[in-house]
Amino acid sequence: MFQFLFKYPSPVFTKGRFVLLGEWPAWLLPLLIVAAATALAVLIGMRMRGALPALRGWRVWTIWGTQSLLVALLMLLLWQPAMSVSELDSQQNIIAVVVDDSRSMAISDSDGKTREAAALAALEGGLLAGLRKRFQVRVYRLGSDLQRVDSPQQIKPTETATHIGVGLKQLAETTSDLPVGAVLLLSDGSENAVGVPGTGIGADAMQALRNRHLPVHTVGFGALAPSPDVEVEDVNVAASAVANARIAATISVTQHGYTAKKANLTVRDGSKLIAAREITLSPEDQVQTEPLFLPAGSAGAKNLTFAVEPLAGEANTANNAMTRPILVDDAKRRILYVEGEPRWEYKFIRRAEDDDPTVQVVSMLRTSENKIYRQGIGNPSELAEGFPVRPEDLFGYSGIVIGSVAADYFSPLQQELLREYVDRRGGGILFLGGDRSLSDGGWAASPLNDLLPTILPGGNHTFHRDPATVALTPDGVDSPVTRILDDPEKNAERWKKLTYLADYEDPGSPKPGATVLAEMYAGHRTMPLLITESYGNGRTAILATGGTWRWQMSEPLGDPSHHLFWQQLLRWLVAATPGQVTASMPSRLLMDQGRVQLTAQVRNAEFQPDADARVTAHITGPEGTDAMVELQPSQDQPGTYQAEWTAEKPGPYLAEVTADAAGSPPQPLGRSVITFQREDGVAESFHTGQNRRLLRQLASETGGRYWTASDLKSLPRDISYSEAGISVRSTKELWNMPIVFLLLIGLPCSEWLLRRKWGVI
Amino acid sequence: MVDDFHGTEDWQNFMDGMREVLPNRPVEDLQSSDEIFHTLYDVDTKMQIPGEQYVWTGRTYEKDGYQPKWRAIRDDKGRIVVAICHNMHLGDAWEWADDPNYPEAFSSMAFRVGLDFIIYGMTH
Repeated sequence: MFQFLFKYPSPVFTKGRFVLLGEWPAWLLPLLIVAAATALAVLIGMRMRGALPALRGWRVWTIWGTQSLLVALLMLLLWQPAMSVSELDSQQNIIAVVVDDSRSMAISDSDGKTREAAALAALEGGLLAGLRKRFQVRVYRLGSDLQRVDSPQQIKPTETATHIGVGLKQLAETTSDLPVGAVLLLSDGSENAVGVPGTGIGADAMQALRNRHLPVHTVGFGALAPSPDVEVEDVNVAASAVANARIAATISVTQHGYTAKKANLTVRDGSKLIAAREITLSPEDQVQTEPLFLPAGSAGAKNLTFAVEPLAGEANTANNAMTRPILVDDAKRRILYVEGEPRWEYKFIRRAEDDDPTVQVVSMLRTSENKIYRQGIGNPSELAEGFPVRPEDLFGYSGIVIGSVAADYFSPLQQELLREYVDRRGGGILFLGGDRSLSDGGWAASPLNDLLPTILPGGNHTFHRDPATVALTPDGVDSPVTRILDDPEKNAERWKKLTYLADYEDPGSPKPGATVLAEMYAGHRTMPLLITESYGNGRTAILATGGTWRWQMSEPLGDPSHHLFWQQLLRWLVAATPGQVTASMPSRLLMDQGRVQLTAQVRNAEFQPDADARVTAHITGPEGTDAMVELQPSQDQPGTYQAEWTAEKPGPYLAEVTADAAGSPPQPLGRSVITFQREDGVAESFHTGQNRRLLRQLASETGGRYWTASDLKSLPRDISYSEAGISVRSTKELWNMPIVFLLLIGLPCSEWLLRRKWGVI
Repeated sequence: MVDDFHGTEDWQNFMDGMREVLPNRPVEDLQSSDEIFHTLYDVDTKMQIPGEQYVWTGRTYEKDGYQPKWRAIRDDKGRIVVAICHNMHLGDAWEWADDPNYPEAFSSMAFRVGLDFIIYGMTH
């Protein structure tokens, strides 16, 4: 119908440029149209008084409108309108036909045929023949890379991954000296590589196509709405954890056909079930994110499988699980606890940490004005001079707890060291409530005030030896720090029933960016109890009481609440504190490719970047993989070292990065261990529905068009409108379009009919 | 803390009762280097601290408790849970500290040991 009315196919108008072939200047046309319309309006206005009543108001302006349109059309025709469009020269151009041959194309959801069979049927059913009439055709198969084939029959859906962006970029680059006029991509749109948001295709691939003006026409295969299915979209979990800690993870799930049904989330370490939860599935196509808490267990490199147990009738269960490598570390982290006065809280904190093999509390208790009692020290000289004054002495601790200690106990140098400890070194500081803490300890006026996660109240007398009850906030319900019981609701109820605190201190109001995990209630007042915040590279927290010891003394014998809470709180304090060597990589999960970029941050004892270290990585992996890789210093980031490596085989890998300071003999600076995993062929099981959005956006952003498999008749013609390859710019006149003729007759006829209807003829 | 019991017979009475509370725990002698004597004050040398009877007898011992015995019972983690002061009387030394007839040396030591014990109890 479109071509019947407009004489030319739609690509002429969508890809062409509107031009005026007349000799008169183009700016004159709108001027004359406006002038004519104005003149008509004036004429009509002058004769309005004498007009018949039936032809007043909006009716007369309707007549004016049809007459103005007719005049405008006639004037436009005088300027000889046309469309200038590029067309590929016949037989001088190549059309690259790219067929997706990944495993997802083997799914049989195209009228009983596999997607691959449907694509080949479309090609053999006239599409290829139609293209070959006007162009040379090259056929390619696309999986993790692009390969040319002699015939579509050589294409089998066996590739383990789909990298559309990589393949198109390869096509654009390898055919740079060939006249490729357009690309025809037959695919279901499953892209397993990260790319430009919204397209899923890499920015460099899009740029390569744009540089050559290559339009990509896409033909989509596969059901848009897959059969009943539950799919794991993503799993977020920390790359490392402290042994025996409780780890927080989130699992994102989508589903079709199971709205409001119950499903079981599970986490397994090999075959061992370590966590499970029942959830209710959200409405279709909504990404549902659920929190999970799981025990880290003993030390070692682990591959945890996060899964949704398959439901009855699920078409595809291969997308119900994802694995994540995690390294559980049992290295003892040392915490420096500074307490300003003998009090019960001190003893019970030490007792709680006695049972935690991964944390050691080194404490200095001020027993009198001038005496310090040290416990947990590693050697007789540790803390012998009091609180450290040198960075290398303080930065060896992974966390600091400051009890009932006034701010002026620390010298200005020590205060600055505390700030550097959090900001630069990345350590954690926990402030406790007490007689000489927070506002009562002068911290509000100290230079370290901005370290605190709250705005302290003014004045003093904020510490009260009065009871206060506690409860979790919504953030606290979701936090692993406050998890005494596994079930979130039962945990929240447990907290409400905990014995009252022996004392409390008003910590003020939380700063923006701080998180309140628990509150306390004293009389009619509600105050934050446990507040956390990130600061620089580290973190700070306030526990606004010195009276949690009552949870140990007044709860039934054997109740673990007090111990659990303190162990989890102190593990949170130190878990993210980096060592002198920190290894990282962009992604710990390698999907169908093994390229690894390993980065190490190396710092000296003062936690300043060390640009002269010798850094090596020892990588072990499946089937006896064993490699030593030297990391090279970065030129623009002192203390950063990098190396690239390739994991050839699928499976779990472990990289131990060690750094030695320059000098003879070399002094070890530290080590960092990181785990990663290569998975082949897994990604193809996810997002198996046709990704029409990706195919449409790829087509529209390159100047192509998205086609359905059932409507390819005009493709061989429409694909010729392209600026790539060897193209000729042709001009198509518009004056003789049927629509013009219809308008020339239709507008006056419409006016006549209206006048007749209104009885003014 | 157990204090003010002297000689063999008192010790037997004490142990008969203690065995009903902690039947399997050994009693050990404390050394001067033990942590409990160094929490606040460093009490390296100790003397037999007599009760108030010293004022009119001149003896530091009572009954057949000739030698002071600083002993303790510990828990599984090595923390002292019972501090035993046998053949001495620290309580009197605190109580009669203001009596000019009662030697200051005994009271001073008793206070230092007592405060060490308190700090130990608040830190272990």
